[in-house]
Amino acid sequence: MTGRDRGAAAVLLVFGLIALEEAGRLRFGSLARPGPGFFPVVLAAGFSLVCTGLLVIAARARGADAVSAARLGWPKIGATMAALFVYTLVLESAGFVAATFALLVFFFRALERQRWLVAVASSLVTALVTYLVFKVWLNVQLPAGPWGG
Amino acid sequence: MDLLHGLAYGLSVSLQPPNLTACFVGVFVGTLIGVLPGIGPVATMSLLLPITFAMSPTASIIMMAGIYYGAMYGGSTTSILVNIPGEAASVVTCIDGYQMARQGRAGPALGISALGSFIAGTFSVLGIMLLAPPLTSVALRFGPPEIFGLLLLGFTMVTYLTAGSKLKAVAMALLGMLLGTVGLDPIAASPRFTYGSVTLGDGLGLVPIIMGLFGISEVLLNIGQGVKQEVFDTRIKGLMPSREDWRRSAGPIARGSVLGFLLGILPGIGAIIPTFVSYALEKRIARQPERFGKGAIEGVAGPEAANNAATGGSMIPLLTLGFAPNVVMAVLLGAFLIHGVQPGPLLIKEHPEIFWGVITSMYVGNLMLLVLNLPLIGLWVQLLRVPYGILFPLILLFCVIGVYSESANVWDIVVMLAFGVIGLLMKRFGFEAAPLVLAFVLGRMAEESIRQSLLMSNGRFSILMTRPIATVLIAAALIVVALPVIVSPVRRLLRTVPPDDTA
Amino acid sequence: MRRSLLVAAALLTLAVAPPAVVPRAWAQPYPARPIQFIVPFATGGPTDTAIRVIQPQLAASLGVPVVLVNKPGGGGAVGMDGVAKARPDGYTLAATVRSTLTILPATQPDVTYKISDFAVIGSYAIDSGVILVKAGAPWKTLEEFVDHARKNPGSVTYGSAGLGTNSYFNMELLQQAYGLTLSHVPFSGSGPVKNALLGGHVPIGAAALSAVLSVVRSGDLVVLATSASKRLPVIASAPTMTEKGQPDASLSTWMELYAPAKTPKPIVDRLSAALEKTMRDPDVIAAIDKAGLTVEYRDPAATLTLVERENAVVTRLARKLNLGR
Repeated sequence: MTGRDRGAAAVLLVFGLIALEEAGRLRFGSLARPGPGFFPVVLAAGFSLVCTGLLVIAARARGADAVSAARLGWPKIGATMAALFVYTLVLESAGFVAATFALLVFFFRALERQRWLVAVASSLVTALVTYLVFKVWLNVQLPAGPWGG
Repeated sequence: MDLLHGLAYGLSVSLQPPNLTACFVGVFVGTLIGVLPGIGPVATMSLLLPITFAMSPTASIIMMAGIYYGAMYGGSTTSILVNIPGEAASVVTCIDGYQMARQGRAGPALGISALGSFIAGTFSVLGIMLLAPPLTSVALRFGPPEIFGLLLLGFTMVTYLTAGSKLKAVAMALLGMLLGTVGLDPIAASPRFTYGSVTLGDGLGLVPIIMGLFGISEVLLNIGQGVKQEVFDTRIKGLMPSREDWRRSAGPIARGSVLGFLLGILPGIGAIIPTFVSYALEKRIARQPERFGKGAIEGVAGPEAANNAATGGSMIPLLTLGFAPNVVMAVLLGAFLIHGVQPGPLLIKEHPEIFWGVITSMYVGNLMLLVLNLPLIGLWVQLLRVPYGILFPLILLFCVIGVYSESANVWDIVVMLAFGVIGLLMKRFGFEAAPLVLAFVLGRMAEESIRQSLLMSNGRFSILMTRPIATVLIAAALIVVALPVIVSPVRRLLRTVPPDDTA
Repeated sequence: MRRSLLVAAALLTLAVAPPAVVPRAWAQPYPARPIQFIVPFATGGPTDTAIRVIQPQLAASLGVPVVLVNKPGGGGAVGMDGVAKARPDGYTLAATVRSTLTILPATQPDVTYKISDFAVIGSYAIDSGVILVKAGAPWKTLEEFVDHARKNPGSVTYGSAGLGTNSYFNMELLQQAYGLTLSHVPFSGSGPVKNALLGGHVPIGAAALSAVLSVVRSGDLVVLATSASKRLPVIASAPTMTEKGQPDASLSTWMELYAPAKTPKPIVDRLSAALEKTMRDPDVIAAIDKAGLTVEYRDPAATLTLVERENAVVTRLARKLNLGR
């Protein structure tokens, strides 16, 4: 499965070239007086070079690939990321306790198939306890939302 | 006041009940926030600062310092158990510590890091007492060219952080440095890759990147594989390090202590570089380097000793110069100032009770931490038996809290989530996160120090060759790079006759 | 799973919608609930320390809790931008330093807010800027150093706490005032400048006094000039730049409080009165003094005059040095 290695190296190489192009817009300066662009250009060029090396190695390699390719349940990963993203969006307007409660109910019920009562109760307790420990006791910055003060 | 007097006087101060209580509260809170991923010592110390107004200066400094080294103890716990470094100084601990936990050896891993930390902590306290004044003058000689030399030497060790392809490690290190250039240029303060965003002006945050690459990506991988409990081998093989573990760890702990202490003194180095220099060193001299990355206890013992010794070392510039070598020390400096005490050359003379009291309290505190942490190991190990379906939402939640609490900015959560996905892809394609994170931290410093050097010398590179310490460090870096190129063909030539068994 | 998703979504909607029963603030006299101060820097720095020192007494004179929120980013721009755009109801304020309204917009093209986006509550403390050398340096006074630098244009280096800091501007203003050409080596903060001076890596440097006070008092570093308006009791031997006839080349770090521009005048006056009362408290004065800062209360009008004057100086210099584009 060297196709995977080849693909990864190719993607990174593209990223490196874009970075090189972008870094090229910054003032380069000289070797003795490097400007803001000097380091990014050198790094992006070096990175692209190493990625080319990776690509060459991957293209030459035959047979077994070192990378394990166990199948991943992408829907579940996608659902988790989407939930976290929505959580991030509403965190400040809804406040920590409400948003966290909703997030945990989703995780416990939709992803982990706990019973409703269990999911709701444990989410509520977790949200409240973490809020108390972090915000009230440890004084950590968390958004209180429209309910808190 | 000579050393023994100072020591006795210090102990008499730190054993007074209010100071003893302060020490206990400090290390207890420190362990707690160290274990909770994301809540770092910096945030906690500054938030607790107002509470110390009512306390004596000595008691409050003792408590603040306790939070710091207590957090170092606790920080390794999450690295080992759930692969989330409490902070950059425990990134290296994840590499082998988490593997040990998956093999059912979380107990010995936690045990060796607590005991190793204790030994290193003791060593650094002795070091502070004996060597603080002379080492300060050496540390002062580290200007930008010397720092650059040291960083260069550090970079040559990045490839030791991977068990896989070295070229991939180099690629990740370069990528890390490239990501580190986002934000304001450290010298000209002009924006780079910020695309008009003020938030990006400070660059990408270190904590969101660490949490994303390590914590989030690990959780995503585990739930993606449909794992319930089998993430960890539940047959727990011992709670304490065995005799064999000790035999393997003694050398790494000793070397890590010395290394951490000496590097910790240097301005700006903090506790990060010592951890991975220690890791690289142990892997380099190990008889079976291929065990590293697969649960080698040396890879936990050395770096953990190093970061604890570094916390002691970094107290030296603070106490003798009033100079904060890293952010945590800056907060501690703030604690001094709020109480009207100016740490610096006059501290021993003006406030001997603080100077000696704080140093001896660190010893007392290390002892407390050991007593506090060893019995907890059993509890932590039981935590791994919690079904993953319950554990993973909590891990994600703690990551979010940790990242948000630092900046009160949801942007940082977005960065963390993005790096979570990147980290997952990196894992799938055989790239490792440790070189990226460490290069991210060091890249900025390297750029800053080389450009400062050139400004100091009006653009002449000779500045790197005319200053002895810088020259030695740069030469050492070149040798480390050149060594395999020269040595391996020679060795191969020699080995063609008797076939060697080393892989 | 679909049904659970729907329910979770419903819960979320419920969570986002603000409850209708929350009492509105306008119903009561100001202040009726805790006031949030945005500190646009991370914890631990002098700005953060200063507001934390006065926090208890400020809360007492306002009669409601004072909540500090650290919102670092963009050298202070992220937090200040947030306050500029906050609801002008007197419950979201900024505890900042003056340079976030002067130097920062002048040097950073991405910073879009202006002084007029804020209503001044007042200044309360300063951290003086100092120009210093290592003990035993060949120059005992500013004049001696100026002489030396005139004879060696371009080859004398100086350390600052970084481009876009008061220390950098003070040194550039010094060069302008005396017609000098020095080479700039920026460090990241006053602490590293102190270190570089002690280690002899740069011959002269500029820093904030609170960061170098301990080594100045021990005699390891010598102050050639300060930015204070009059001589400071802790270093009475050090002359001020104003004495040298350079009042403009003396930027200090002013700790100041701001509200969003459209905040009603009575609210700003209430806050300003509370600040003034706080800064008269002998305990507060002692605590500020201990932290290496000096209490300097200025009312809104006086503060605004100073801010605008500093802004003019800084903007002119930034344009001349070609910064911020």
